[in-house]
Amino acid sequence: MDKTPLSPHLQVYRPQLTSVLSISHRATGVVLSVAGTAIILYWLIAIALGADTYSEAKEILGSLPAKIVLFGWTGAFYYHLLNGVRHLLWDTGWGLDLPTAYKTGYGVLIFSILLSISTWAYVLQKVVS
Amino acid sequence: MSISFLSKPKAANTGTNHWWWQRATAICLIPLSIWFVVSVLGHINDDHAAASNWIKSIPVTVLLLSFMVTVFYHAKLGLQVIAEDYVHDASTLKTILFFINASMILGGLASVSAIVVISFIIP
Repeated sequence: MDKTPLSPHLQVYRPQLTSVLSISHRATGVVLSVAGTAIILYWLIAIALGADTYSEAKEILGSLPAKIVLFGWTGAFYYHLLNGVRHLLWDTGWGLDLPTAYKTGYGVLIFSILLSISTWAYVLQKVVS
Repeated sequence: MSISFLSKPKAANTGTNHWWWQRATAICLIPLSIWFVVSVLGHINDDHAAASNWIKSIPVTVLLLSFMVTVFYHAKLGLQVIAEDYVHDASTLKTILFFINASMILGGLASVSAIVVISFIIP
């Protein structure tokens, strides 16, 4: 049986910003693929099934535990989006040097936090009003 | 040390294809996902009539279908790379890849069906 090349185990390395951001891209990707799509699917199917199912889903999605999960969804989404752009820029050859990689890394972190907070400031004032 | 695995034409071929599609879907998802999040935020208080009327408009139906299909394909490619990187046993990997493909295809079909039902079937 031929062995294909595999990534080394993560615990071999001392964690640093670049490696933590890299594994976070995969972690948020998995979360968005599994839980993220499930939430969107639930919302779409609830609309498709009619007014009663929809208002039930709206109530469930508006509950406090769901709000916390959706806040996590927003954070994972913005992080994966911004860090994904960072990856696409790397594919063009831009930003691969260490100082730039650190700058864009911090930028991705700060902007995903800012975007998540402003999104939820908007959501909460809109839902309340 | 043997490097024979590096010259397998099958791996080289599917590898490039996979890499290209992951980037292509990623680029498509930048505008599509921003559109999706901003639009849903705008419809957060909608009742059933408002929400379904919004989805029924042709541009929204088309964008929503494109978004969901692209998301599930991008998710399948991403999950596949992670499984291939960390699952070291060939038969376990095969099983996991089957479940990734099956669930992403089912998810894609379910979302397309739901959008079609909303846009063309329910009043």
